[in-house]
Amino acid sequence: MSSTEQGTSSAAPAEPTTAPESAAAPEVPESFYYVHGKDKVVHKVSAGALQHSALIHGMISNLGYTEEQAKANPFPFENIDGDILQMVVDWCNQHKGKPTPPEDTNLPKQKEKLFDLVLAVNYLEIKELLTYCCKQVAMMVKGKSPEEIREIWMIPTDAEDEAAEKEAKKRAGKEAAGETAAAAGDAK
Amino acid sequence: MKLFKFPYLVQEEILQNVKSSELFLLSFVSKKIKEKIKSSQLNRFKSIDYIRYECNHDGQITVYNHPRDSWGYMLRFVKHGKPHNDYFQLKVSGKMINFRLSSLLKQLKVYYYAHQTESVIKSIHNYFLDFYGNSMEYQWMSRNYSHPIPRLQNLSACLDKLIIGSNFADNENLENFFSSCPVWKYINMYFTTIIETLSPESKIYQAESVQINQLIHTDPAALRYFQGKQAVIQCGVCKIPDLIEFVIRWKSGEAFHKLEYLQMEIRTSEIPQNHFLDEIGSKYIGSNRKPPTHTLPKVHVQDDVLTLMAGDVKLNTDPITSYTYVVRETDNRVASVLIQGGTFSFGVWDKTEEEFLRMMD
Repeated sequence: MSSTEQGTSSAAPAEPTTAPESAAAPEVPESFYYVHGKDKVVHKVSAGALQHSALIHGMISNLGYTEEQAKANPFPFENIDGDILQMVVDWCNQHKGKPTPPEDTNLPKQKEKLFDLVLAVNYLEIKELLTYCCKQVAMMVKGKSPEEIREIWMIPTDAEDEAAEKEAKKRAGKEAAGETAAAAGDAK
Repeated sequence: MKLFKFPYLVQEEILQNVKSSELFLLSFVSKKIKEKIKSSQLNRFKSIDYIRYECNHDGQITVYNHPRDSWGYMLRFVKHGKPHNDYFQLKVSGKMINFRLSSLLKQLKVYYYAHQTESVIKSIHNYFLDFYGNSMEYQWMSRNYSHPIPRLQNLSACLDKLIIGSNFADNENLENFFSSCPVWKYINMYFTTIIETLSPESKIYQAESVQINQLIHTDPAALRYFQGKQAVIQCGVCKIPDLIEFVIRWKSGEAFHKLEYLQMEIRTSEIPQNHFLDEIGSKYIGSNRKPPTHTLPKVHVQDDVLTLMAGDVKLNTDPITSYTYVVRETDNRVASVLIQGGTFSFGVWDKTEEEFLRMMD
C-alpha cells in the first residue's frame, strides 16, 4: 500500500486507492503518512507499516496530523540515502501487521549498503529490522581468520590505534593552547 | 564497513550475535576490540555456566561453553599431522600458536606438537582467564584415565562413563589419575567387577557428585565413604543393615556432612519399608498434611549431544515427596526419606525440623 513518487518533498502524492466497501461493516480507512530521504523522493506509507519505527510512530502520535497535513508535510530524513529509505519502507510494508520471522534473508549483501541500512534502521528505531541487520553483520565474520575479520570490519591495528591516540592528544593539546592564547589576547 | 563507526549499542548487538569461537578470534584483532568485547559482553559471559574441555577416548580435546550457543564447538586441539597451507599464527598469552579453520564447517582448530600439549593448553586457558574473567568456571571432562588432566586455574574435573571391567588390575593408575586433580565435580563409573576397586580414601568419594553403577556388587562402598553433595548409586544387591547404617551415621552427624541428595537403587530386591523406617527412627508427617517436595539443581547435568537431541536433559534431582523424614542430631536439619520398591531416596533440607514443619502450615 505504498507508492513512491519522484520529485520534491512538496510534490503532491497520489491519492490512496480506495478500499472496496464491505457489505458487513465499513472498514475504517487507513491513514497514510509521507517520508523522504536525502534524494527528496517521497514515499507514501501507511500508519500500520510505520508502526515498526518507534521514532516515526512517536512523531505521528505527537503531531496528530490530518491526511491533508500529512501530505503537505512529509517527514524529512535528510541523513538517509534514498535507496536505503526505500529498503526500509519496503520492509515496513512487507511486515505490516505480521509477526516478524526469526530470520530475514532479503537484507543487502553488499557491506556498504548494509552499513548504511544499520545506521538508518538504528536512527528510525526499527527494533526487529535492527536485530536482523546486526545478525547479518555478525555473520560476515563467520569462519574468518582475525586478519580477514580486520579487513571486513576495518578494525585498525594496535599500532594504528596508538598513532591515532597520539594524534588526538596532540590535537587536543594544540586546541587547548590555542584557547589559552585566545583568552590571553581577549584579556589584553 | 567500519565496526567502530556504529553507535555503541549497535556494536554491542552485533557482538552479541557473534558466536563464541568467532568472538575468541575477534579478540586477537586488536587490543581495543578485545577490551570492547570484554566490556560489552559482560552479561553474556555471566550467562555462561562453565567452559568445558572435553577429552575423548583418543585424547582429543574440544572446548565448548555451556549452555552452547551453537551445535559446533568453540575450538579443538589437534596434533600436527598432515600439513596444511592455511595456518595462521596468533600470540596467545605470550606463546605463538598455530590455528586453522577447518575446510568445510570452518571450525576453529588449535595445532600443537606432542611435546607442547600442556603448554599450549595452558596458554589458551590463561587467555580464557583474562578474556572471560576470573569468576568463570572451567571443567575438564574425561572419558578414561589414560590422558592426564593438566593443572589449570579454576578447573574442576569430571569423569564420565568409565567402565571398570571384571579383570581390572590398574588400581594404582586410576587412583593416581584421581589424585592428579584437586577438585572433582562429577564421577560416573560402571563397575562390572565384584572386587572392591578403590580405597576408602580414594578421591572418587570426595567428588561433589557421583553416579555409580555396581550391578554385581554386594557392598557399595560409596554408601560408606562418600563425602560429596549428590550421589546416585545403582547396585545389584545391597544389605539393608548397610543402608540403615548410612542413615544412622548421617543422623548422628558422624558422616555425610555435605550430602544433599542420595538415590540408592537396588535392582534385585525390595527394601522392607516398615522394618527399615523403624530401624532408622523415622518421623512421620500427619496424613492430613501435604508433605513438601525435595528437589535440587543437579551438580552435574548430563548434557551431551545425544541427551540434548533426545530432549532428556534433567536439570534437577528427582523429586522426593514423602511423609517420612529423619532429623540430624547435631544441627536439627531434616532429610526426607522415601522408599519405593527397591529405591531409597534421601533428600537433605537446608531447614531445621521446626522450619520444615512450618512449610506445611
